[in-house]
Amino acid sequence: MATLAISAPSRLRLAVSAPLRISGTELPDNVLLMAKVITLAFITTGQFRLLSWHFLPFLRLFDRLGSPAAFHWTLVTVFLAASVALFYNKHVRICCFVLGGVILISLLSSRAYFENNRTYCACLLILAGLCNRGQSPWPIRLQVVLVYFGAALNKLLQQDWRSGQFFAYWFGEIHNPLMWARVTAFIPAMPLAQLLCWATIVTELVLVVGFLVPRWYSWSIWLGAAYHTTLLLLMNSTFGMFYYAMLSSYLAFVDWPTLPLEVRYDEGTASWKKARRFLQGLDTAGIFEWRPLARNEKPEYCSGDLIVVDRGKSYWGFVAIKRVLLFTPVTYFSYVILLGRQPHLFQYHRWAAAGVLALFTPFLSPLFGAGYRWIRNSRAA
Amino acid sequence: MTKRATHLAAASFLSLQLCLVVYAQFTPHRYFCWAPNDYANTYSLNVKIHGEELTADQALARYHLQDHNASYENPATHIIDTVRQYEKTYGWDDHADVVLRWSLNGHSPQTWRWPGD
Repeated sequence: MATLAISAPSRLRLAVSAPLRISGTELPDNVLLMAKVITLAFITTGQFRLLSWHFLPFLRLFDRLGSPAAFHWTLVTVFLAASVALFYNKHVRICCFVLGGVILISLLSSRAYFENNRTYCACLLILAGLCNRGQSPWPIRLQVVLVYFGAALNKLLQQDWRSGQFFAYWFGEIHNPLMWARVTAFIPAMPLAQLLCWATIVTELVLVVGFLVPRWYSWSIWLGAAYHTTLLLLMNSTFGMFYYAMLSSYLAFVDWPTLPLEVRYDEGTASWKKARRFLQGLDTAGIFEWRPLARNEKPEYCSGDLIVVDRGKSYWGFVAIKRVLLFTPVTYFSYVILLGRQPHLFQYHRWAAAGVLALFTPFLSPLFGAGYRWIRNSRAA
Repeated sequence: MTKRATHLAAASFLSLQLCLVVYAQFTPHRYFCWAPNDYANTYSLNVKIHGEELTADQALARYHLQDHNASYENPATHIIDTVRQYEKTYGWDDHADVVLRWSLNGHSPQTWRWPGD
């Protein structure tokens, strides 16, 4: 009888690479990636430790569910167990239901636990469990639209938002009086506050429309990312899970490749070897098919560059590298860990977020492209 | 679950949320209706139990409320709901006297009392 023996290094590689894999499950790849990113953010930011101890529940039945401590630790255990199963791609739809359900139960069982950012995570995970492979993730797309619609409507109907009073008080008196005083020494306070309130309302309304029209998806993703990154920069806060959950829900609008993307590279270019090996190492999920260029097919226009072929379209240079990073799950996981685990004494998350936004901003692409070419040419020289 | 059933469940879940978004605009509460961080309340709580006044930290801890130096970014009705539910259930035997003073978006302070209001 033949024995299927797996060596220890292979087993280790499998254990490490399986959580990074998002293909071949019952969920669309981008939806599974979104669910994994939200779950990872919930864990790395320590949100899972805050799951409810049932206290003043919205539904009285939770008061009859035993001791608050037992209730809390049950939720934590179930959450962590479902997280492990989700990362190892075991019954991913059920896992999404369970994870979303745990957060929802936590919300319903405690008024003190109620926060919109946690509610959003619960809704996304539950709706992820209702998505089907091979179909568009419309429930998540509509969830995004609904959040921006609700937020814009509530602001629009409040006099303090229309007049700017909210911002002048919230930012100017509570959160950052020093900065506000400096800025309003040059610009009149109330017109500025009113402008910022209206900018927020209009941005949210534009996002409602943008996420309803497929050809505007990519610009809406950029606008939404810029909006939430600006809030993070200004307030030095991710608003709980909001920054992570909002940005990862945009993955539902990404036209994720169904077949491996072809990455072509020049084996003879020494300067590329390390970088290519590094990028290849990140691709443990097999999203890309790495193939060296044959001697007779090296195109002049992108000599020495990586070339990514995505559904018949070729990308090279800086754009190709961005594409490799965008379709690599480990990029998202690393970013979440980088932001979620920042030390208290060295808070870099807003600068990291601003840097990443700049890197993926379309109109800054020529600038980064020029920098990339300069580095590439100097290394080659 | 069949695809039809999942679609129906997703549509119902989203429709319920839409109803809550619209309904909330006719009430002073903002639970589960996507009104995130739209309010800036500064508040103080005074709680007397059997005639003895709790410190500010003890008062906040009693209702698991946040530090009052930061703004409370939900409507103040949520604090009122919390205090009222606590005093009607877990704390009914304490016969607490509670005074909540808050200012919404920098407007003149308002007061709510338990028992009474």
